[in-house]
Amino acid sequence: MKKRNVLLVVLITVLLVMGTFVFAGGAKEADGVVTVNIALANNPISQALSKLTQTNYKADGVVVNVSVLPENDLRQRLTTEASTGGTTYDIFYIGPYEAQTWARNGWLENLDPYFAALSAEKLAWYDKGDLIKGMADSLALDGAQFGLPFYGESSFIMYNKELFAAKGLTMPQEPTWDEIYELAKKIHDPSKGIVGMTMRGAPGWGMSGAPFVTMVNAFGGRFFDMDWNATVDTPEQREAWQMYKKILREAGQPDILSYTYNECIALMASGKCGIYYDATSIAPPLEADDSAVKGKLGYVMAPHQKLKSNTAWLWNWSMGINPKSSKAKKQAAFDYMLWATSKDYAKMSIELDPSGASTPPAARSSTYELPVYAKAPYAAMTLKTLEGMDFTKPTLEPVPYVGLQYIAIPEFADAGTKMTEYLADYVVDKISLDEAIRRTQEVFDKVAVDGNYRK
Amino acid sequence: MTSGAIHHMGSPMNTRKYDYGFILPAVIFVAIMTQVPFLLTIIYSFLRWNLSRPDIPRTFAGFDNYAYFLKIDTLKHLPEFYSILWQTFFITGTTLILCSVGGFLLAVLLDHDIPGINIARTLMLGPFFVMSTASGVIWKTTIFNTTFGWYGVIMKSLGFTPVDLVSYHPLAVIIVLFTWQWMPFFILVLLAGLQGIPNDLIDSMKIDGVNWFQGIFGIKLPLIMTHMRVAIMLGLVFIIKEFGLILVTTAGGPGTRSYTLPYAVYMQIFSANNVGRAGALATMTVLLTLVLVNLIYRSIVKRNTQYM
Amino acid sequence: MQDNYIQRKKRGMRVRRLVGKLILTLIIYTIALFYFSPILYMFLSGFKTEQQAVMPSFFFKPTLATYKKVLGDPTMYQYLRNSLLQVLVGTGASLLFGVPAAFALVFGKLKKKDSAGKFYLWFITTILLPPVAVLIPLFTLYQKLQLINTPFGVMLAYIGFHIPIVVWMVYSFFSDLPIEIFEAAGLDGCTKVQQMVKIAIPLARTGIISAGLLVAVFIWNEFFLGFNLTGNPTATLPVYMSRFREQQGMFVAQLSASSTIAVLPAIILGWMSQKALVKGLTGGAVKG
Repeated sequence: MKKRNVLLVVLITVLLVMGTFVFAGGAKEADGVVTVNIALANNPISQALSKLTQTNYKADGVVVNVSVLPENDLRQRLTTEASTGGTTYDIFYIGPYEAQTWARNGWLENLDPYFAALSAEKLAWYDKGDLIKGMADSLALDGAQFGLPFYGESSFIMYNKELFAAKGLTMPQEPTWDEIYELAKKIHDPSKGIVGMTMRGAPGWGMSGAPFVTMVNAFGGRFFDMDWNATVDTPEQREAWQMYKKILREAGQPDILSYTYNECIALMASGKCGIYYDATSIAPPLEADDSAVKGKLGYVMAPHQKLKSNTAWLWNWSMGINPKSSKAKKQAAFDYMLWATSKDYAKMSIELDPSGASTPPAARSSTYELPVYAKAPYAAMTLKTLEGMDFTKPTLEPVPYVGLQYIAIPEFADAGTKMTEYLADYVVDKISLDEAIRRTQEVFDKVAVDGNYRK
Repeated sequence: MTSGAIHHMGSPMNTRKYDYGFILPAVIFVAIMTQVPFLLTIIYSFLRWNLSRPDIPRTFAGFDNYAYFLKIDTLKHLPEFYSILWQTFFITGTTLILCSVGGFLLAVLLDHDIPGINIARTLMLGPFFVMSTASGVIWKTTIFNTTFGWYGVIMKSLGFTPVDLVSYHPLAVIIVLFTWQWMPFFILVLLAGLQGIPNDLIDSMKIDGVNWFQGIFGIKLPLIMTHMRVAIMLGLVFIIKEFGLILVTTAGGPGTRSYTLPYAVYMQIFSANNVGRAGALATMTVLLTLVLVNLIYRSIVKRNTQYM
Repeated sequence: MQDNYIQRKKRGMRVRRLVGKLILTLIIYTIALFYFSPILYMFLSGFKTEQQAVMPSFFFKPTLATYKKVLGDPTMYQYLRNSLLQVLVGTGASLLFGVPAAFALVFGKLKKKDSAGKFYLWFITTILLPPVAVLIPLFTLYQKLQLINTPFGVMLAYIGFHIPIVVWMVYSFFSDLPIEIFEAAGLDGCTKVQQMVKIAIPLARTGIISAGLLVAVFIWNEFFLGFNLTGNPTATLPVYMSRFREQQGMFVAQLSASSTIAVLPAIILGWMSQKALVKGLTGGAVKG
C-alpha cells in the first residue's frame, strides 16, 4: 500500500477513536425535556417512591428517571461518581454519612439559595420546620442545608409477642444486651424451626455494621480515642464482638452471613423468629395486612449495656443535588426533591398503601399525626427512639468523631466493611477473636495515619 | 512474502508498498484501549490518591502503595495481601487441575461413536456459554441454599443438617463453580486433540494389543499435550480474571476469605476509593498473570519434548 | 462344527460389544445430563409460578404466567437492547479491525521478516491483560467525559479487548489457505484489498464466522467492564443478573425466567460455533 494511504488509514482510525470519545460524551437531550436521574436503594420505601414517581409526579418538560440498585452497589457507585465529578446522577440518594463529608468537599449543592428563591406560598406549603430536627441537622453543615431527608430511621427491638407468651417470657421496656441474649436463647428452638433472634449478618459497614457498631457503643467501646489512637483492642469492644457472635451462633438464623435485612424481614414476617434488632423503618412492612405477624409484634428500645442511652442508630436516606449537573437539571431536581419530601407525598403514600408500609417515616413530625400512625403499634416507640438520638455523642468516652452506627470519615466505608468482614470470619470460626480484633485494630490504626487524622 | 513484489517492478526499493494499513487500525485501537490505560494504571500506582479525600493532594508516593500490600512487619502476621495471593493461586490452581483431569477423562469418554454423541457433547458444552453472574445466582439460589435449594433439601432428606457452604466453605463453592463453567472448554479443546489422532495409530494400538489404560494415558495423553497446554494457558488467563461469579456468590467473603486479586482491586477502587493502591494491586496482578502463563508455557513444552 | 464355534464366538463378541456400547451410552448420557442439570432446572423453573418455585421440584404444572411478567417488564427489554447493541457493534467492529490485521500478518508485506511474528505475539499478550489493569484510568476518564451514561464508553473497551481474539483465531484460518492462490491473484492484477475481500474472506468464512460468534458470546457474557463502566440506562444483561444477588424475598421463578432469556442466545450461538471454535483456538496455539 502506498505510504500516503497508510497515513490516511491511521489518521482516520485515530480520529474515529477520538471522535467517539468527544462526540459521544453527554447524551443529547430532546429539545425542552430535562431528564433528572436518580438511583434508589432496593428497600420497600424507596420502591414506593419509584412507583409514585412514575404515576404521580408531573412537572412540565421534566422526566424523572428512577433506577434501583442494591444498596452496596448504590453507595459505591455514588461515592465514586461524586468524587470523580461524574454526572450520571443528578440527585444523590445518600445518608448523613456521605452528606457530611460530601458537603465539606463541595460534592453537594448548597440548597439554601434554592429555598431562598421559593415563593412564600411554596415555602409555607413545604413547611421546612416540620422536618425532624435531628434528621435535617445531620444533612446540614455550618448551618447550610445540603440535603433533604426522605425517610429516616433509628433502631429498636421488635419481638414476637406470641412466641414470648408461649414460653412465658416478658420483654423489658429497656433491655440490656445480656437480657436479650438470654431471652433469645430461651425462644430458640431448631426442632420447631424457631429462631431466637435474627440480626443482619451479611458484611458491609451499612449492613451488619449498623447493628454491630451500636452494640460496640452500648458495651462502652469506641474506635478512636481523642488522640486518634485506634481503640479496637479493648475489653469493651471484645465484649461486643463476643455478644454478637454468641447471639447469632446460639440463637440466630441459619446461613448467618447471607442475611441482609431482606432475609431478616422475611424470617421475622414468617412468624418463626422471636426477636429482631433492626431499623425502625422495618416495622411498617411487618405490620402490613399481608404480613403473618401483623399485630403480633411488640417494640422496645434498642438494648443498652454499659452505655445507658443513645444506643440506637440514626440514619436517613436523603436527597442531595449533584453540583456538576446543568442548571436546568439542578432546578428540576430541587423541585422533585421538594415533592418527594413533602407532606403531600406522605398522604399519597398512604393512598398507595393504607397500612403505612410505604410511607416515609421519621422525616417529618407531621407524619406521626396521620391517622394511620396513631393506630400503628410501633409509632410511639419510634418517636421515643428518635427523640433520644444524638449523633454527636455516640459513645461512653469522648471521641473525635460523630455518627452513631458509623464513623463519619470517608475511610470508614472501607475500614468498617473490613471490620464486618473480620467479624463475619470470627462468627463462623474462621479466625479467632484475637486475630479478628488484631486485624481490625490494624486497619483502623492505618486509617488514622493514612488519613492524616493522627498528627 | 513475495506476492507484492510483482506489482512493484520499477519502483526503487519496494518501500512504498507495505501493508501496514491493514494492521495499524487494529493496533492503534487495541493500544489505546488496553496498553495506554495499563500504563496509566502503573503511573497511578506510584501516586498517593484517595478519591474520597480531595483535601489530601495527589503526590508522588514512590513504592508506598506497593509497600502497603507487600511489606512484612513480622513473619507471624503477614499482611492480608498474601492471603489474597494464596487464595488466588489456590482457586486458580485447583480449578485448572480439576479441569485438566476431569476435562481429559470426559473428553476420552466423549470420544466414542455412540448414537447421539453430539447431543451429549452439546449438553456438556452448555455451561461454558452461560454468563457467570447468571450461573452464580442460579447455583446460589436454587442449589446451595440450605432451605430452598437442592443441596439443602437433599441433605435434609438424608438426615443431615446442611451446612451453609457459601458462608463456611466459600473457596470450595467458587472452585466448584469455576470448574463447572470451564471444564466444557477443556473438554472441547482436548476432544479436538483426541479426534485429531490419526486412525491408523488407533488401529495399530488395537493390533499391538495395547490395553485400555495404557492406551489412554500412555499414548493418547502425550499426543495431545499441545492442546492441553492451550487449554491450561487460556484457562489460567480467564480464570484469574473472573470477577462476576465471586461477586454474586460469596462477595469475597466471609471476611476476605474468598477474595481474589481482581476482586481486591475492585474493592480498592469502589469501596476504599484509593486509586493509588488499586493501581499497585492491578499492576501486580498483571505481572503475576504474565509470570504464570510463561511458567506453564515452558513447563509443558519441556514435558512435551520429554515425551518426544 | 468349527464354523459353528467361530460363529458363536463372533456372536458372543458382538453381543458383548453391543452391551458395552449400551452401558457406555448410558454412562455418557447420565453424566452429560447431570452436568447440564442446573441449567435444565433453570429452564424448567421459568415455567413455574413463584409458589411452585419455592421448593425444588421437577414435576409441576407449567404456566406462562412468570414469562408474561418478566417479558412485560420494560427494564428487561432495556438490558436486552443494551446487550444486543454491545454485541452487534462490538463484534462487527472487532471483525472489521481484526480480519484485515490477521490477513496482513499472514499474507501482508511488512518491513521486517519477523514483524508479522512480533505483531502477532503482541496481540496475543494483550489477551492476557486482565480488565482490572485498565479499569481505573478508563473509569476516571469516562466519568470526566460523561461516557458512563452512554453505551460508547464500554463499547470501545469491548472492541479493544476483542480485536486480539479475532486476530488470533482468524490468523490460524488464514494460515491454512494456500498462498499460491494469492500469488496467482496478485499476478492477475488483484490488489491486496481485493485479495482479502474476494479470496481470503470467502475461503475462510467459517473461521471468520466462528471467531465472530465467539466474540459475540464473550461480549454478551462480559461482566467486569460492563458492571463498572455503565450506568443504569446502559447496563447489560450480566449486570442485570447480578442485581438478583440481593433479592427481596425469593423470586426463583422470575429469576429463572430472566436467566433463561439472558442465557439462551449465548448457548445457542456457542453450540453453533463449536467446531470452528476449536479449530481457531487450537490452531492458533498449536502454531504459536
